[in-house]
Amino acid sequence: MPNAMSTNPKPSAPRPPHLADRLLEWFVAPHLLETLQGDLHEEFAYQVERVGERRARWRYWRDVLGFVRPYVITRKPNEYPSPFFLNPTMIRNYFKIAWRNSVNQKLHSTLSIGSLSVAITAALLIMMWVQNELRFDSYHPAADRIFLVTNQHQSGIAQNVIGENSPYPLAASMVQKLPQVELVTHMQRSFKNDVTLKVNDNYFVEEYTAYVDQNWFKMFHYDVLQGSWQSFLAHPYSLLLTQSKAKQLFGKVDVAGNHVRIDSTDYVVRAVVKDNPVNSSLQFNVLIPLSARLNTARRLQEANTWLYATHKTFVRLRPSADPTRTAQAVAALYKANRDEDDLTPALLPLQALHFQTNFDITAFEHTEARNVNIFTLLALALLVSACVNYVNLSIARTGIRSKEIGIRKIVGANRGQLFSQIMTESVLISLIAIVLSVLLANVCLPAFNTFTDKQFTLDLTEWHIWKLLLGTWVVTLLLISVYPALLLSSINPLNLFRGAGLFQVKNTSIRKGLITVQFSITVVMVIGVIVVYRQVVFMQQQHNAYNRSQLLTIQVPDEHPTISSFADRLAYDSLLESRLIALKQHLVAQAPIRHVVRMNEESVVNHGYTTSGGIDWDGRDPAFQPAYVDYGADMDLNEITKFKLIRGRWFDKTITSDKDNIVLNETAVRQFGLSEPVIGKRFNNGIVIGVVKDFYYQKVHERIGPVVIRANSPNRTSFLIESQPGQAITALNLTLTSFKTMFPKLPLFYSFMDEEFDKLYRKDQKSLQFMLLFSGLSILISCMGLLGMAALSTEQRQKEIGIRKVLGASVASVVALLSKDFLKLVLIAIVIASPIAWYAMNRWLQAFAYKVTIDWWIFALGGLLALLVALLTVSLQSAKAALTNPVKSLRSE
Amino acid sequence: MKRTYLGEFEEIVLLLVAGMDGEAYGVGITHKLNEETDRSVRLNQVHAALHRLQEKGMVASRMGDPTPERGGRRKLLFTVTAYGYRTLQDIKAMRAQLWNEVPPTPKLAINL
Repeated sequence: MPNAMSTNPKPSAPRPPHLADRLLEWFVAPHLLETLQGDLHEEFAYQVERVGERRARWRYWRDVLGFVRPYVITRKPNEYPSPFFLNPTMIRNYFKIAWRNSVNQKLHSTLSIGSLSVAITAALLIMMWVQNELRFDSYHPAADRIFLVTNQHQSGIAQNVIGENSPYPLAASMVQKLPQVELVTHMQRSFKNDVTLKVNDNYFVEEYTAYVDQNWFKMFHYDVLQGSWQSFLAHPYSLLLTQSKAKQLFGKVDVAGNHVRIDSTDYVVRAVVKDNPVNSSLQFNVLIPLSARLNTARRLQEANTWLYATHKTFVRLRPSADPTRTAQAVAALYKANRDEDDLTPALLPLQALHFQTNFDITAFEHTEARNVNIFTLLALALLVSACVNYVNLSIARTGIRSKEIGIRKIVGANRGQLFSQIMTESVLISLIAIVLSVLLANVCLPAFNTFTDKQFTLDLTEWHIWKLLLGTWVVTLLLISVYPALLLSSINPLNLFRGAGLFQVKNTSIRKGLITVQFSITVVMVIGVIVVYRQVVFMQQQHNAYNRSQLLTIQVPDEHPTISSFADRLAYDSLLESRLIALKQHLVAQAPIRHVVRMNEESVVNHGYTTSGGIDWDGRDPAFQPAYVDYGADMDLNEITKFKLIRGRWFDKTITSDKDNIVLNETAVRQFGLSEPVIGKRFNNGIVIGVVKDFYYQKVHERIGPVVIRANSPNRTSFLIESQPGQAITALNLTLTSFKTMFPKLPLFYSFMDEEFDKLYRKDQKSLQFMLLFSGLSILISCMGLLGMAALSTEQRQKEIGIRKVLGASVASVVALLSKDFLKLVLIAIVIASPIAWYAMNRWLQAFAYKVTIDWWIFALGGLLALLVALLTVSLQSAKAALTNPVKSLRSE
Repeated sequence: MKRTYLGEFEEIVLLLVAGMDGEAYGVGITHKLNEETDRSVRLNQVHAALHRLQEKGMVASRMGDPTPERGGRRKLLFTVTAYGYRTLQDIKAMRAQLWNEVPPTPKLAINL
């Protein structure tokens, strides 16, 4: 017996060095170890007697090291060699078995592959969007060294808004004064709808064009298709168009050299570039040299001021430069050149520009970083949910497969082989699912592009798409390998033969846990949908001052008159005023039109422009310059928008002094700190005549600010027209004809209030749609899993049900018996999901200034819905089982 | 007759194995070798020689009994095989034959 005398006879006898022994045990082949070590120990004992312990230990070390020889280290080949577990033949066998298993278990494989591909498709599309967001503006050369100079105005500090414009001379002076700056370029965006392109007698209004300077193309990358940017910059009246803009204007792409008339000047298209990439902040389709805008000495002189922040200035720093220090240097430049000390500059990395959302007005497209996190999380949740299905159904089936595994073990399969077999199965299933989802994603892509307003392509020749696919696949594979991991960590061949299940943990509890996780995800989503829906409905109900369906707004077109002096301007303005008054009178006289109001703003629904300064009242602290919303309109505005007067009165046309009087909203009274009596207090040149209840003049996300309503503004921006009920279209046509006769050949912009409304809340509508879709998918996937589990458990309990029925159980009691277990899980899921949903939705609602409360019944409703869906799914199966004739299930042949 | 080449050290170890008559093992051989030949041989050299001899088929091994000073580990005992014994005899005979040719008083080189 090897172990019979394993203890030393004399416990005090010296022992050989432990470390040397460990080394020996490590390198000596197992079949040699015993005798070799025995010899060494015997020699040690002998040497202790002979030369003493200390020297014996040294000798022992020398002896041990002397045995480092190939013949000692080489392991004895196994008598019964098992094939390498990644042997091609074995792998072929694994695939074959996996394939047969999936084909045999049609319901099981359909459910797991189906839910996996649905989830992967959704995850793929979402991650495509996320990836695009994360790759924003990264394609420019040295993009990590490009910064935008942002400026925080003193008045913006409280509101935490920053501006993206800097004074015009900053660019030149940065190049001169700051050695760490490598390149500076600046640009200006046109006013909205300011540029009208005339091509062969057709007018096209460009919403925004960009005026760029000489360095623009050195900093930002454009793929020039025709012409060159050098020739674009060489001539002031040049245009650079994107491919699709060229197509829109000319119907073809190769248009370099063609002429386009803007106002009264002929411009030449000098270059055509590829469309701006989806991941670019600079989404301008028409570029004009800045020199075309600053074409006279006077304009240049006007622009060249440190006083106003007017241009978006981008800098590229040298590799070693520090952005914070550079920002401080810019601040020093401000101090040296500006009289007022009201701008705090900072350098915003170009790649962070996309996620910076606190600009007051911005020319670039932004996304909130938290949206990216939310969507990633949602995609992952869906993926987890689908993987739970696979894992669950597979675990449930191991009972059936235990025989297969048992036989494999008897024949000599080791852990590695079982592992690779089950992994092969997972790989196969996930590969099938991912191929299916690539197809599915291709089908869904057009709808997805409409939804996101982007142009994504699932181009398999692009490396980043592969990264996405591989990433999704790896995550899926990792998630579904929970199954083999569980299985292998607990395989005990004895249990296999005893028929006592494969898992050390009771496998039902794993399954139950997983189903609970899955349903928790679903319940969170359902609750999310309810909250989002309530918030969207709430927001739309808030704009109740007017009847939306009959309102339309038409913008007074800009005639771009040639004005050379201030007198010219005055003359033109007064002429325009009289024309507009005539137009209004003409329109009011039309039968389908009920009211016409001229306004100083573009829209009553979306008017979020705050001004500061220019107001004064009795008792104002001279330093107090509050921001407010200037609301200018004809006195009959209240005919259309029914403001609720709290105090005082509305404007009265018969009182001539009302021209200079103003009406405030409640917030204005509060924030301006007007002392009593408010009515009659001097305000600018008139007095305060009334206070109206707060109303929403922009989207509900924003807090209501002070509003100053006045009648003496030049109301030449737009017409607000209310039609008679049901005659909106006739009213619009009448309006358009009248405008066309007054402003021939000018493009007209009009919008129905409904549309404006939709635009205002389009983002929220989209979140709602998105949440709906997502929770739908989540419910679908959970139900697929539940269906599979229910089918399995009814199948296993067929005989039990038969006996129960023979003994007189009713169908209802059998259904209850089968459904009870699952419903319990859903109930637990509701309990887990509710706080998570509450937390998540609370965070979401933070973005809104005015929001719904999250009531307890929302959780109840969400839970109830989940419960109902689960019940429906399970009872489908259990009813089928309960209705089967017991003879069928009990008959044994 | 072609026979496997046997080194001098291997030959001595083989002789010792034969001499110990089935009770030969690593430490035993080493000690005996050191005592009788006045060499300083190390355990691993002996083991290597035994390994080579076994590969050449001149010794066979079996497991012996454990002893206390070995920490309860068994010995690997070596016995000479018939082939090994034949080889030893061959060597001895060859040497004897060679001795026969040596004159009783051969001329010795003198170191001047």
